Amino acid sequence: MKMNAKPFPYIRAEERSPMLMLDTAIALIPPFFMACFYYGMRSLAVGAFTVIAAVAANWISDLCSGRGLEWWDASPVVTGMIIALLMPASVPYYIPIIAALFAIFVVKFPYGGTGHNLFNPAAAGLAFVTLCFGDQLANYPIPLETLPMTVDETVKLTQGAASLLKMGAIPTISMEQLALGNFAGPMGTTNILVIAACLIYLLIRRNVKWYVPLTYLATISLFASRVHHENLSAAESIIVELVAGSLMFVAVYMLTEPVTLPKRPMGKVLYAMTAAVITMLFRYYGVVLNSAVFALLLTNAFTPLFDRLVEQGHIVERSVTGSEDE
Amino acid sequence: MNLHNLKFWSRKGVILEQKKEPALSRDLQQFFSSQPTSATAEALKEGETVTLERLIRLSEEANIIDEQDGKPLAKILRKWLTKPCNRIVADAIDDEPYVSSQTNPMMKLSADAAYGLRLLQTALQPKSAEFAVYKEMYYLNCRIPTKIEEFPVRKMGGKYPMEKRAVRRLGDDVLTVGVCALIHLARAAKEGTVQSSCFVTVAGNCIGNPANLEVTIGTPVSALIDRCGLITDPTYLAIGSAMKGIAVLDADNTLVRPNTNAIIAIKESKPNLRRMDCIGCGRCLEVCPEGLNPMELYRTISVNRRESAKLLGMDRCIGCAACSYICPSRLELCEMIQSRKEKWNCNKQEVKGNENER
Amino acid sequence: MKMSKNNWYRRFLLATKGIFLQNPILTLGLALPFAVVACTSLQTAVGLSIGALMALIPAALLLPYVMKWIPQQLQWLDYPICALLSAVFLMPTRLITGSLSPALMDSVGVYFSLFCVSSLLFTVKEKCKEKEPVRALLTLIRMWLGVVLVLVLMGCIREVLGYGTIWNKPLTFMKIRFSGVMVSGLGFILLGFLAALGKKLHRTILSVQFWLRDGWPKLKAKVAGIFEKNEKEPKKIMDEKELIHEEESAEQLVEQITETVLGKEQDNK
Repeated sequence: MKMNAKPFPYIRAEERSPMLMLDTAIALIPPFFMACFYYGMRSLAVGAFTVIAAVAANWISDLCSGRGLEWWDASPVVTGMIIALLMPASVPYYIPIIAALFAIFVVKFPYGGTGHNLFNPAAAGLAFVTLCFGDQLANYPIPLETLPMTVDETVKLTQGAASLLKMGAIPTISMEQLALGNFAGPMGTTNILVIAACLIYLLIRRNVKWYVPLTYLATISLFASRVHHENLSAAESIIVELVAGSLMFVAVYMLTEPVTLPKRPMGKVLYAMTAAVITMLFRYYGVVLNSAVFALLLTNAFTPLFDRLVEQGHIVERSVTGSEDE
Repeated sequence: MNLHNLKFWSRKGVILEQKKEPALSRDLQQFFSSQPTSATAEALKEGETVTLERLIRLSEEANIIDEQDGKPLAKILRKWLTKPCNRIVADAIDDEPYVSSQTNPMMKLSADAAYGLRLLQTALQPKSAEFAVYKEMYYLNCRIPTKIEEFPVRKMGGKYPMEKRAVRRLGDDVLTVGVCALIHLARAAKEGTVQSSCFVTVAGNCIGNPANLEVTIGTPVSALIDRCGLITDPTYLAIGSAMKGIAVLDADNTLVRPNTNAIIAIKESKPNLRRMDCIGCGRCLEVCPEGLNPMELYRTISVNRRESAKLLGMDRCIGCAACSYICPSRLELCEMIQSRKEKWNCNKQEVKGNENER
Repeated sequence: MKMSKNNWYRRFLLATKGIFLQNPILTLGLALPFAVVACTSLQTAVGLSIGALMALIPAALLLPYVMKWIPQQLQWLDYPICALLSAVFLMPTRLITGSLSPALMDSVGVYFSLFCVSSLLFTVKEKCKEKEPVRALLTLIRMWLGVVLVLVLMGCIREVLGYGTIWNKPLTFMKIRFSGVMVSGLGFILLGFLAALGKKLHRTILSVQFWLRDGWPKLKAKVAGIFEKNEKEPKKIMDEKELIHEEESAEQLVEQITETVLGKEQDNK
């Protein structure tokens, strides 16, 4: 019998890293279906180009870093899909491609590649293109109108709901349209029901901790019920805040990315609360459009701090009580 | 409320599938390979008073070794000459998959086990004495009895690793003895036999007839495997347990010892797993029973930062390998921490709990 | 990794010490705000380099003479005196360049004058303290060239990416304007990538040298070995002894055949 020497343990759990990232990629496919339903094949083309650019950039950076080509790594696919879903469907093709290249080459590769990035690469890519081509990202096409593959001046573009809220107006969208996502906005972020269903899928697969999106949305609801327009009641204000803009999308897919989250439960709760507070501050006093994404980027900088604080707490408790057994 | 440790959310440990059948329900079979030694111990006579010194002398002569850590029973009992004892627990907890080398003898040789426990009870006069069994065993073909003669069988639950934590939880005035040592003590008291055999489970997913065997100490491992038969060539052969055991490279020259609880042969379906680097998922933190941070320890140890690792609690690691089990990138977390512990002299100091002293 | 100390590459690096080996901006991290915030086009880069030169000259050449008149306990006054001297030199420079090309001074703004209080000035002052005038001048020129190299690179890249022009002349192939590159955050990122590029270049040259010393002879030997083997095989001619042996064996064969034939005939007979 041929024996192999190997350190213990000799049995392992069945879950493997490539499957974890594939789960998130699978959970991003339903928003693409809805985008295709509302905006036609152009949304799929934008998504395809972004994903191809992100995957190619990841392969090149893998070769450059000497780690070897890891073709089973699904994290650039997730990055590409998230960037594509945050764009309006009428965006010129080069903008999401540039965002994906920036995300992989500048935010992910210099810090160590997969599993070692400090900032969320999709959020950073979106920040870059908002800085460079901000005016082209502010106007969204109207859903359920045919959108040709090459967009020219004949396409009607309107402002999104979040910018209307920022200016102090109330978006004139009825409740059923809000629920179904039949209003102008970024490609994947208007369909609240679909995103909620994907959240349930991710919770069942244990990719996402339940208290992270809950804390985020609860804090935002708290803010929205206190400070609102005089024509809206508190409940309506909460619903409008949650629906307008990319908030639900960020809460489900980008806030819960395991690499940038703190690792202890208390750290995760603090992180979600900070992100919510900064999001609402950006919405009230900021000039930027995707406030949830930028707030997330800022909170990513606080992750090591939360990690360190909670870990110090654990170390102190261990030295005082002698054991952490419950 | 401890703000940094949400205890009601964190239930430490990992749920393992305990594939104890069919070895658990089968009869205990004997596989003696040589003549037992001709040395004898002095058996207990009729009507002799049972004192602790008498039992210590008996276990010394009969050379009884407790199967949990390999210490002689006499040494363990000698510590209780001066300490008061409130409870005796006969440890038949098998919290690792495939292993049932303490539960099976308890059920099949229950008379001997009860007699041994009775001896200790008369010697130490505790308030209560009981057997302890692991609770989370499901899909069994037999029922674990609730009482063995007059002693209750207490089911202790918890996720893996459970045995060490349960023993720690019981307290300072509780004597825990392994069930197999009690059986050998009973035999020595009745007939004066010296311990020359031990109980071993041979199991795994490529063993043809998994069973519990009573084996002469010193049998080579290959004989046991031939006795039970292999279906396919195993990828790993381990003695001890599947989670904490030692890999066997030379089956002909590895001999069975009293604290070899099991021989496990496992065939992995995909042996050459491509390994990724740490993706920072944080699963190892959720399962560590001591509340340590294996991810941070891994990163600190790889760059040889000794003081940071000691601060993170490297000396508290009990080596249960739950973090390596659950890591989706198949990193060798536990092995790295354990190997550095020896090198950097970080073994845990003897604290006043009874986990290191028994 | 051992290379000889008298390597041509090492001598080249030491000869140009401030430019490549110890670049003030990329390696020592001095004068960062100028490179990151102010240097957004080629014109600005040129203006900043003029300001740098005018601010550094008095620190290197004039300061030792000034400090001789100051008593021993007040030697710590060399820092403010240095700043004052360079400010005195910068003032007329600013006016002159302002009158020569106002567009350049507009694009530079206040950063022109800030050189007189930057860390670059004080580092150059320390390096040129104990040296003779000629050596001090050479050190100064080397460090200034290092600063100019980085500023010009940054200015060119940012202008091409951001505006699509070089020295206000538009380029035809740049159709996309990354107007965000003017922001200082992305300037930091660009500076980081330049530093990484420099390091990669250094490592590549070193590894090429090592390959030339170790790997190239091996490759040559391997290639020559292949060629020698190929030449040997067609040259395999049979020895004369073998030829003779073959002829003899052919004769023997003929004899054997005739014997058997004749033998059969005799038998038949």
